[in-house]
Amino acid sequence: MFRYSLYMLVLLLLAGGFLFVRKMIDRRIEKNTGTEIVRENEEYLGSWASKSDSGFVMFRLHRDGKLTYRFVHYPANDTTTIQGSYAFVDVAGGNDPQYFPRLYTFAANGDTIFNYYVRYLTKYDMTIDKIDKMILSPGGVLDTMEYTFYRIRK
Amino acid sequence: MSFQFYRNSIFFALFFCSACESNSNKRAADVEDLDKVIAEDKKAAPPAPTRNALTATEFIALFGCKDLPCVQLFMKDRSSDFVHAKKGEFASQHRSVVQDTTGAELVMPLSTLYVSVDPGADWRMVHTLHTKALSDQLLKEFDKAKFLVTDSTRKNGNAGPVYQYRSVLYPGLVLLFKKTFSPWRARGLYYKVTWPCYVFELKEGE
Repeated sequence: MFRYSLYMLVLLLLAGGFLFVRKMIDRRIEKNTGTEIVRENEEYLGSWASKSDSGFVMFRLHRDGKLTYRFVHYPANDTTTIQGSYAFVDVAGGNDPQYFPRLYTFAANGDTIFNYYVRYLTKYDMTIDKIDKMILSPGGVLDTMEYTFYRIRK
Repeated sequence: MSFQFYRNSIFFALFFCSACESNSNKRAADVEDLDKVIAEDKKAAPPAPTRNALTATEFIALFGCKDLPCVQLFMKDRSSDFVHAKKGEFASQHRSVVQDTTGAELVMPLSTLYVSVDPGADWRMVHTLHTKALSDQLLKEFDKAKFLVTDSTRKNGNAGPVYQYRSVLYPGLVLLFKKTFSPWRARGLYYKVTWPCYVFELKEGE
């Protein structure tokens, strides 16, 4: 019995050790390359972009809670950059399924850039989709209006 | 070159390949390819609702139906835009923000279509729009079909007069237009209406 417990402990230590080392490496690489390495349950991190006839929007959700928001409003070609912060509120953020999960983004002066319901977010272990998507709705779950953003390489 | 630089470089070189193998990062697209990605994605997606209300010609064609199955068949062809909610009651698939009289923002379909299904009732068909912009659009379309105001009356409970329209192109057809808070007298999808409804009702005239 004791032997099996020991095996179990070794297995746990191995798994824990692997995760710990992986996390350490991830953070180091993030620091060196200036990107986010996305793992399970943090699929919202990283750079997202969307394009339409009226403009181009790109935002990066940094791991440390910072936000870089860039947009171009056609026909002008000037890029406006806003630095700020964001908050991703998961289902645990509230009991009302109509309004959570949500993504709040704020400019540095405290103005809210957007406060959208996260309708869809590609899962980490998804194998069907080739591209990661984040679909945001301006209203709650009832609103069928949606904006699709795609994960981009940074 | 400092020691730290070499240490970082070796660390980076050793683990770059393995650690960057994040599934999500593998699925990232280049910004230059964004147009292509969006186009491909749209092709695969189910058709999204493209409009909020019937056009005037569709509404007039629908009025040709004299029973509910005919209406259901007609609306089935437009099921990417409209949903059959209850018996004789349809709503647009797309939902958006409607502002009520207190300024509160409600998320709801921007139009409904009601037909009376009671055997004893006169055949009535009502298209209710929830924003002024949509209402103006539909009025314009009726205007193109040569519908002109022939009469107006006032009734309690309405936010304005009821306008009666007739067209030489559609003899025997009367369009009643009103702005009201009781679009379908204590029935329909919404019992407590706090936002102005723009009601288009088609009736057979004498």
